[in-house]
Amino acid sequence: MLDAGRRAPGVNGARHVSEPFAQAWSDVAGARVAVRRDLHAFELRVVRPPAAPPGSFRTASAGDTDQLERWTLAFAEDIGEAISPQEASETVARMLPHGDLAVWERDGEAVSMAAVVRRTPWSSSVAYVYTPPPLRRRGYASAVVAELSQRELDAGQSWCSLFTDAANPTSNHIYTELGYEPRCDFRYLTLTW
Amino acid sequence: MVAEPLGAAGAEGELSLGLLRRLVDTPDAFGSEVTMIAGEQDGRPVVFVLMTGDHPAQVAGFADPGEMGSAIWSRPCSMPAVVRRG
Repeated sequence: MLDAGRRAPGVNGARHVSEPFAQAWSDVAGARVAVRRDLHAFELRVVRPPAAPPGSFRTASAGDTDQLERWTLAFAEDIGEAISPQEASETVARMLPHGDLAVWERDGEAVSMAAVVRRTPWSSSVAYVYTPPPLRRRGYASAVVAELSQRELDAGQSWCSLFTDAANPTSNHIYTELGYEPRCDFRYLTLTW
Repeated sequence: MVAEPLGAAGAEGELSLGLLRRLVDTPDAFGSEVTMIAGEQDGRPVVFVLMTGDHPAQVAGFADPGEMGSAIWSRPCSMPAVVRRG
């Protein structure tokens, strides 16, 4: 990679791999290494349905686009990985036609969202879980994640995965309640050249 | 070569496998510059590195850290698909 002029801006992976890899970049090429974020990787095989809040689950549609783009921007800002409006638009446009974005709807209004961001032959990865601050602590996020995860299992996937910020004990607790079990710790390190 | 061990690694390999699958479906999904390196030991993959565009390198391992170590770290190379050792 060095011979090819590739200078990775960072390394992400299970901590037992990402740390020595980043250290190797440092030893061989002098990159400065810093921890950007610690993440927990979760795996779910059976959903534990939460107490359902008022409202219902539905797959997002084109009519939700504007709101989903705003929420995608807000989600990215929340996790400290700010993106541009254009990137938010492209993200929504990529997922929406495939039914990969879902919302919890109450009284005709979407109140929370979640998405399937990747699939493998065996699994689906859930992310972009976002509820606007005034609507939090009402169980909407738990409900939409539970329903979306169950939908993926019903479609034939063996398991669902999900990453959480290790520094956010609230979300870690919520997902564990739904049946997501911690599998390993990821560490995202930045490299400065 | 790496799909099976990535799949067997569960949540630890899912991210790499998911990105790899997306690249198969949409080769330019992450821009034109994609680097993949697999470290192999005695005929089996022990580590897989995927770097797309300006994104961080995604690393997945299928062996003890000691085994992975020199399979890839100490072998600078010019863009091979696979680095073999052992």
